[in-house]
Amino acid sequence: MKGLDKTTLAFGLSAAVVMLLNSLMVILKESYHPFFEFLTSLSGNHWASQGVIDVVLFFVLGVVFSKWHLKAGLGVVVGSAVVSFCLIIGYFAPFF
Amino acid sequence: MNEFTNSLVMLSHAVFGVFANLALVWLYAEALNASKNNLKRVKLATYHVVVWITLTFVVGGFWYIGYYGYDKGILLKSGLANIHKFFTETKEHIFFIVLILSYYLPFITLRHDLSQNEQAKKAALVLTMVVGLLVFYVEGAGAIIAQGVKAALMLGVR
Repeated sequence: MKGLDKTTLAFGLSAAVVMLLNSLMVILKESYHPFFEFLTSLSGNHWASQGVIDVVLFFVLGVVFSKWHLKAGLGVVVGSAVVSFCLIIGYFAPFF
Repeated sequence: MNEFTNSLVMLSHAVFGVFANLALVWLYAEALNASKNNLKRVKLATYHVVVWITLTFVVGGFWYIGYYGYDKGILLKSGLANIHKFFTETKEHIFFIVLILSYYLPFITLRHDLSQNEQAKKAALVLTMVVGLLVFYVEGAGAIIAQGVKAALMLGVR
């Protein structure tokens, strides 16, 4: 049984890190207004800035992790997605 | 932008999201039945996922940034403010998880032979399912927001 190649595993770690960072950015910008304003100042809209940061970070970290031989398997990626989802839902749940 | 164009752009991003989910179902089916005969279709379905998710991001973002403010105002003025405070906020940020996973998916499906590599096949199936479920949430939240705005307008909120 062959496994996933090194680049894929490195980008898996990148995806896991970026998804968690995305959720933390959501919590930070919603609870600390200067960070919200900082994101808005980058592109004119906080959401657009966050999206561009997420995508750029994913590719940059993927390349960096490839060079550093850092990696993460499927479990870490899916686990990060679930935790990131729960963080966002949990943060906004009191408004439901 | 007039009302027709506004509605067209708003509906487009929802339709692109549905196309993305159809592409995910297609990719799941191709990955599940991966063989030497369908590797081209695996790649084609992957391209479809990436293209439709990207279009959803661009068109949805364009509408959200430029025109959602009006709907948000209506929701906040009505008794349905929680629809914005929960569904819009979670939808717009959970979408980024979808975006990142969709950009990660090609690393698995385009760099590996799913017919020969069980681990890659499993990863493709699991990730496709996770992204598909997240897209369902985003689409569902979008439908709730649209119905909320409609209900508020019917109640006379302007």
